[in-house]
Amino acid sequence: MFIYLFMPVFISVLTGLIVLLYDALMINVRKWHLLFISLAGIVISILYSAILWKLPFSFMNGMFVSDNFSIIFSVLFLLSSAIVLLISYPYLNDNNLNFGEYYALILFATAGMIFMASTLNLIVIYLGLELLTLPLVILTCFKKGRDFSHEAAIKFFILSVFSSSFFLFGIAFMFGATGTVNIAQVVMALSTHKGISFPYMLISVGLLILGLGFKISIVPFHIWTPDVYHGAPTPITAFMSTGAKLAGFAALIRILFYIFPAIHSSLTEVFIVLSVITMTLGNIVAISQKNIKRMLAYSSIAHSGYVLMVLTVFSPATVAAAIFYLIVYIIANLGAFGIVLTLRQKDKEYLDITHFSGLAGKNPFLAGFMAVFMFSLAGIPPTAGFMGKFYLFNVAVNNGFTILVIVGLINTVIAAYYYLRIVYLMYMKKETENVPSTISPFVKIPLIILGIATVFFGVFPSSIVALFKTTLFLTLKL
Amino acid sequence: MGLIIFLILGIMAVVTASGVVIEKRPVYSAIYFIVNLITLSLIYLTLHAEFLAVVQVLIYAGAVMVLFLFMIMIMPPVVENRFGKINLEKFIIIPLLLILLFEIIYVLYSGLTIDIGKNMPPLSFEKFGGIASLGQILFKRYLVPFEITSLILLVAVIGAVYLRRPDQ
Repeated sequence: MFIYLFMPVFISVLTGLIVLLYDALMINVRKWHLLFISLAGIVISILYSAILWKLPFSFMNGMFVSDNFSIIFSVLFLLSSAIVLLISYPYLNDNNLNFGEYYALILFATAGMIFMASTLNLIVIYLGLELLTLPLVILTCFKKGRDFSHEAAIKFFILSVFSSSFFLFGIAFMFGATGTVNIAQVVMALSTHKGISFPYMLISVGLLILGLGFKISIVPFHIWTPDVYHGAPTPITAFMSTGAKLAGFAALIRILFYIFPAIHSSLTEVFIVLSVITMTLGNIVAISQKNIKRMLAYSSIAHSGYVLMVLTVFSPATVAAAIFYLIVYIIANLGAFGIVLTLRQKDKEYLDITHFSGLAGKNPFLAGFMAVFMFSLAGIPPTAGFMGKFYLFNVAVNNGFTILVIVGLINTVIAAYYYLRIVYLMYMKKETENVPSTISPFVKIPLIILGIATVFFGVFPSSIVALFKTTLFLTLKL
Repeated sequence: MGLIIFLILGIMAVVTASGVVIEKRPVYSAIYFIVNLITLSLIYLTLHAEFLAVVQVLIYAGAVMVLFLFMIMIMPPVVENRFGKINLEKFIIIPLLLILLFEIIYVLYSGLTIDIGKNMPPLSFEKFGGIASLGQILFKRYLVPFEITSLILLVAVIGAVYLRRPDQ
């Protein structure tokens, strides 16, 4: 049985190795073979995850678990990796970067994410985090010879090592306080000798949140985000702002789920403060950004803040709302980056916000989809973004955090300015300079799927939220 | 018997240690260094210092791997085509890969019945520090972290090679 448990992660690693060897050993490699092998591996991996649905299983007392929570996240990781691979294919070809390493590193990073979401052991979460971060560092400077992407990679590497060391320190404190690194056993261990170890427990949780907060770019730890998102190749920016961020949230929710009952009174205030400063700073700074990638970086910081709003309390409803919001966010964000990727000619990219001027007249397809994704990120009704925010605010109000909701609403209005500015530029402005757009079927098909998903989740959100609410927690408890 | 083994290992240790110094190419020098460390750890094994032997290999060989990465990163790549026009490396690598693949498949199929994670003998203090208890902990209790660590090292190697490779 346990071999099936590892199948999703095993197959993504195996596919990575196959792609790497195929590119290295075969003569006259057709580049689309690499894409095809990777996508096939991802599809098989998703199928294996689906088989494990509602079959909770724990390997080695929580060293690796498979429950509905981990399966939902694994499928999301795999899907976002597949879309990133698809939209990056024409980009890689135009930049002469189409190597097996690219596919292999993305698949290894996906394996790291799956490890992060499906374990109760803090050491495995830490190693999964490293397995996710290291490929991202390499992918950040994948386009060699550009100074600012090397700078971004070095910044990312040093700061992520720094934050990882905080996370490790947190694990050490946790072990000191409770004698275990298994988060399912922490609360029990704590109740036996509460008085002595409680302060160390608080220090430990603080350090753990710091380490993960860096990955999901909560505000005091967000400084790296704009620079790295700007310097990385655009498909990798899409990958970092969706899959990697989702993995950080998966680990954070998993840890909080087990630790919250012990120290909830201390954590609620922490998350209120973090949520307010994260969304406010992200949105306000995003207004003044001229570069679309930096704008989306600050917007992704702000969206982390919205999700933190519901982590102030913990119940099936809050986690369901958080996961729904994250899904909505990654759909819209992947779509937005997909469109940013099309505005280029060969290896020259057009990343300024004003380059969107008059896009509607030139290419109504792209402009229409960009408008849908911007509406979704801003939270405007027929799209999924509205329903995501609705569920978040609803949960927050039900738990008595009306102030948070007011701050959230003010922030939504601020955010609407910079999202709708893109729509305004596309539809109301004349074209200022000749911006070419190259669109290939590899980008078109994901865009259509993401656009339909955005509208679909905006119109019929209740079924999927109800699914999360009822099935998510069936198996999360051991 | 013990003396013969010691003599063989001792001579190997001396030869490889001088190889580290004499060899001019840094990568070869590092390989000599690894062989030297392994020989030393074998000598520890004959002295029944099992833990020391394992740690010797784990830590020093790990450190030398890092040294390797730095060398690949820093040194200019030397293109040596010693095999002429026939690409002999591929002829060696592909059979090795096939053997490895066969091993993996074999282990996977036989692994379906192996009881990893079920029968875990409790740690005993008499054997503490011996190879058996160390192996039990590393490959049973901490199997998952161990495997992830190997993947992280693989990613580091791929990254170093990619970043250092001359553009095609």
